[in-house]
Amino acid sequence: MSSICFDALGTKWEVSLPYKEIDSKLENKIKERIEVFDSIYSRFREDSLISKMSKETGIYELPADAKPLFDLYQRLYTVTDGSFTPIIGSALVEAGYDKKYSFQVKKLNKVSDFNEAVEYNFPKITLKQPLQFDFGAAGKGYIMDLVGEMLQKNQIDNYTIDAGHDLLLNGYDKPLRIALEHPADVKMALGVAVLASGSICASSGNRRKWGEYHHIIDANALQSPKDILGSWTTADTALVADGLATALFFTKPEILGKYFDFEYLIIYSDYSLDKSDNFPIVDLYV
Amino acid sequence: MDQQNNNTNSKKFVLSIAGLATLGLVGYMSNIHLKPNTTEMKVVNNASNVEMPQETISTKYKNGTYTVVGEYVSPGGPEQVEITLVIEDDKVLNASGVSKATLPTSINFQGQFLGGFKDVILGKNIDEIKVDKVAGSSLTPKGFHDALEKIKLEAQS
Repeated sequence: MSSICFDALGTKWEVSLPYKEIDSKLENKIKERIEVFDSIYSRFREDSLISKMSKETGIYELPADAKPLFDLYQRLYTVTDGSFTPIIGSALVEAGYDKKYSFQVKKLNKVSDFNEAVEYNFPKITLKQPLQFDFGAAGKGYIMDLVGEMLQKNQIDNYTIDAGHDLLLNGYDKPLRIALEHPADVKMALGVAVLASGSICASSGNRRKWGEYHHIIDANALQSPKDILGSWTTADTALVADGLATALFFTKPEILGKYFDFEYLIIYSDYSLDKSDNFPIVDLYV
Repeated sequence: MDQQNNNTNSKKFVLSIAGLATLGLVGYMSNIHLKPNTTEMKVVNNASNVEMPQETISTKYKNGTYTVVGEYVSPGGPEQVEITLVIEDDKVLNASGVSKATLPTSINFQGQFLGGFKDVILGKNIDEIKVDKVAGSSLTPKGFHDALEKIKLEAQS
């Protein structure tokens, strides 16, 4: 049993291995990998690729790891009729969720039609106008998957990656019991889910909230959805689980279910619950 | 018997309210201008809807459903709010409230209160259940959290 803890992407990470040790060389490699990811995809860093794209039009060659991330965002853009978009950054900045965290709300302008504003043909993406990308909805999930791959390449098949209480796990004989944290009170659990491998991610409008906005903004409505308090999703990858946890704020689960393989639990703001048939919940405390 | 129950339940409810207050209910109460020295809680309908406990384990509060009417003096005059709590093993399992307010401002404030107060009392304490991990979104990114705290402090001064 060993674990490493560190801060990255603005949150706390814990990688735990039940049966093996993480040597310091691998630990450093993991941290470096996350740092490289952040330096490309963070809209909070002046030097990131994403910040450059927010200022300059042109043809960009995306890094080799970008395809799953961009592909997922493009699929979700289509399935949610544009409510979920990788270029939601402009609206988030106007709502005050900017590099300086000013939280000064300005008028929100219509978010560009993604398919009109770019030509995407991996690895090339052509920006016809400067665009403020934001990968807050699924970026963390994707780098969790990449860290999982690094562990497996180092013959570590049994692990838990906890990144700000989104989880990716693999190789457990006995499923882990996972508390579903109440969106409105971190000390309370709504229930317990079990998982032996795959990812469970959560999304909530309650924690990152200011004024009438939270960190999830619907690109069509230009508002933060208020009818959902929180969502949990399970999927094989953290990329899909993370992205779908946010997409559930915009689009009905039955529609998303036609295109993605995932399970979900939603708590609505009137405290009613909805879950998919196979969401692995074992205890429910409501 | 009835009279005795009435008294015990009344006391218990006051204790529950104190417990709730520590969970953050006080924040909501300030919204409706509850003044502690003018507040009087009365148990109503208790004989009809209090379920007496079957077991004799040592809990602080008896299991059951408690309905009370809270009275307070708003800036516009006296107002009432009715709250029902289901208590089991010292935990509030469920809660609901009915606004009895008459003034528009009070109706509005009570609406906010009743809409929000379930937030703090639903579920089970994570420390008390056996789990390996927690899935949730509590770990707000540090920069965001720090900035928001700063703004809150500024707003208070």
